[in-house]
Amino acid sequence: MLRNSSFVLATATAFSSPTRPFCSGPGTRLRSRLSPHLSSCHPRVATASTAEMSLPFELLDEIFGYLDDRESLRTFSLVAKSWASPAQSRLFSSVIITEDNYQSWKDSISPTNKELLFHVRSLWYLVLLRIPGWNTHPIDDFFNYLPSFHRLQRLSLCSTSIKSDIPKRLEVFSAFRQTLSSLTLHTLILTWSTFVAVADYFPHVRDLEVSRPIWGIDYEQAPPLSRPLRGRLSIDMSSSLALQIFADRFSDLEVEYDELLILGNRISGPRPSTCTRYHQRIIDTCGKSLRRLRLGLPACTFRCIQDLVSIS
Amino acid sequence: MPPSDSPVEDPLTLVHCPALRRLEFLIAYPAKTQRAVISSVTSANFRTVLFLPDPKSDGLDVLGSHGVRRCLDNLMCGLVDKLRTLGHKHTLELEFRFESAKLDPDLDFRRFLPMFREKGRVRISNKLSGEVLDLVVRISFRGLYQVETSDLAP
Repeated sequence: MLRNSSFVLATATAFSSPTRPFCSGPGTRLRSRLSPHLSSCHPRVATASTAEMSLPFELLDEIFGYLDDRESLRTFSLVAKSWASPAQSRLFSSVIITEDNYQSWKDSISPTNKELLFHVRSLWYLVLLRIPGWNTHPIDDFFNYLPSFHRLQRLSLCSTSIKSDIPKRLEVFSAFRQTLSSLTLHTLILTWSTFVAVADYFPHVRDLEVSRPIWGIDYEQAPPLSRPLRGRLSIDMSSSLALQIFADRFSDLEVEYDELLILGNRISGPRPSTCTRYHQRIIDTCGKSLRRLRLGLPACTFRCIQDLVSIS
Repeated sequence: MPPSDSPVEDPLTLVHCPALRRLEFLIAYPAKTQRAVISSVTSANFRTVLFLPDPKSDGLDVLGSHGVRRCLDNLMCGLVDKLRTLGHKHTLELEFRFESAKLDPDLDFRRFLPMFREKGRVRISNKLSGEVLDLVVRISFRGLYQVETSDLAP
């Protein structure tokens, strides 16, 4: 902490101009917080306490990039108004919401706090489908926050359900429609038409992960894709039935994936060997565009051992 | 769990992937099923087969087996020969990437896949430590044979 503080001050000294007006507020607060450390610093650093601390956002952001702990970032976000934004930019760049911190998240951050939520680039929603004692579905509340994530690049929705009416109200994702590049749907209950509508809604998603989905009954036809799905697709199915549903419907889509990752060596079902047929269908659907294929085939470990015994 | 020679299973085939460049397996060594997948590659752009075993496994023990090496050698040589007839002009690379295993200095990797090393390249790497062992004897490139002596010590 001391080393980091000294570094920030030294840098601030180097970049501040003595001819510019003195910024009393931030400087005073900074002196009071760091005065125990200043006596041991370089003389130039000590004089920085009386110099102006107003630096361009980019410089502060670069300096704060050297801080390796969140506690220091929290402290610096309180030093001055001009320090708040670059510190919060780092503090909130990646947010993980679980059922443990969801209540405090709700209590401390308003869904309309766009200034703060603007900093979030990576968001993991890991809240269970239902929280004991809650009457409402937590994701319903969480969706109120979505319009404020204007710079979101990576979204992971896990262990919840996506309602089947989402295709009719996709505008809840509109704030980050153009910025999102990575989408993970993990252990979700959703229908195929919802999946297609969501995947198609984000034109710049290059990394789509569908992991252990639970396919709901679909009362709607999947909407037509506005463009072929491109980039990297990662799938990990928990059962041969989920895989079959995915493979059957996936083959009707127009896709141009150049990377395909088929994981799922924990797949369950009475005949895991039949999964090969569905994997083949998925690979053939990607066929012409496919440049990289990663396979973690079911039961491969068992077969590998048997095979080794036979040839060694 | 079915036996390895279960007759119900058709292996995956990659004949419909003409642009495929890279094939990766999350295992230390290809079993019968994965060997069939590798043999089915027909892409003229194909470059790399990569094995990424479970970080907890010690796949290097497996690679120390003479039977395993011979099997891999035949598999990769067969693939190179087939791809050459299809117009493949790239150096085919076989890579084993481990996360935790130490490269055993007593294991003589210069004897590793000798036939394939005449036609391609073998790379054994440790992801965590950055250790890389490149085993290249000759690189076949556009009909020319270039002798290399880059058997790097770990």
